[in-house]
Amino acid sequence: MSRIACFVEKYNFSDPREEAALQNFKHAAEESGTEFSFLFREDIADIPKYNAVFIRATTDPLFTAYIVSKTAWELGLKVIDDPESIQICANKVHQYELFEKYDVPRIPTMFIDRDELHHKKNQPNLPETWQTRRH
Amino acid sequence: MLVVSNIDLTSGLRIIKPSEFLDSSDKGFVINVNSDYRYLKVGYYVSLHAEILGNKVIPSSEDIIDSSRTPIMLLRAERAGIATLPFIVTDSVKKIISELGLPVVVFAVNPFISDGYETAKNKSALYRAVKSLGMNYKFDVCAMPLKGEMVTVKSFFGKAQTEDKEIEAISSKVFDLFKIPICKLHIQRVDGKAYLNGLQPIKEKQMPKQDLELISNEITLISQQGEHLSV
Repeated sequence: MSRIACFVEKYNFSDPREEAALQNFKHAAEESGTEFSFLFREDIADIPKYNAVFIRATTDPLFTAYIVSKTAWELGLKVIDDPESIQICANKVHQYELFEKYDVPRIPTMFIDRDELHHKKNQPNLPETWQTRRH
Repeated sequence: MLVVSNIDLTSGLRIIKPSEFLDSSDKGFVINVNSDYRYLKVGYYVSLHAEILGNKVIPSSEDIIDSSRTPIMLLRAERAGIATLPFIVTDSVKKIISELGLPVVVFAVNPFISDGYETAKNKSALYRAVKSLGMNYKFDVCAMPLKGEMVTVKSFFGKAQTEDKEIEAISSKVFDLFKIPICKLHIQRVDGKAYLNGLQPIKEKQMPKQDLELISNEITLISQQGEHLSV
């Protein structure tokens, strides 16, 4: 029987809707004949015991989820999100450079650093959307 | 060959500042020489920008991320045949003691602490280490047994600043694997054998003039030999 680990953090269970969704995943996996276990950060050493890892915790190269994803990937397991996707999707600069490279339709975007911030605030071209570059 | 660096190198080669390179579409083999390669730092964006332009670059953005996360660095090193020690990733003192015993070496696994490690010879010291390096248990730590003596060496293009042949060999293999031009390696010597424990950035102020000359000489050598580095 195949074994899927679902990597979760405690916060994944704080919202009843999220918890219900996780139980739905478990139910669907078991109905299809797959063993499904929740994997918490203290269980990372158990990754080799599984055939696949499905990540539900926040994916970011700075978070434990990346350690889980890359460990599973290095060990040859199937993993979602895979480490490359995490590297791209968690970073707006990376995404935008790829949008430009492959000519994906995109909203005009500029990236500014801390030093440029004060100057930029004085420019009268509002409204515009501001986001941090990390998420 | 394009040398992109935030460091004042003595090389006769033209050095491009990271800010200039990030605004450019320069093509060519890029050597990214930076005092801090961590994710989201300028050193990371230089490699990322080079890759998106289609350039060969050392280090790659993937290797930058992996080498700065100790458990991934150790996993990849072990799989590449570099001697490492067993390690666990956890925020639990009990788990560290039950699986590794004491004493242990503890490294941070979070985006905010990138310098140093702690050793713990008893339970209370381990609690302190896990609490501080885990930022009040918010993040995991990476622990491994402490069986010998900890040694820290600077490594420039895989050449360790040491007379120890075994540590030199580890430094060379780590460079072959991750291609991080400037880093320090934490190595544990146990019964005459060396084991890789950690890889961290070197702050620019920790590099005196002779270090900068060594780095410059390595870059000059690479430029004379051509793009022999496999990427």
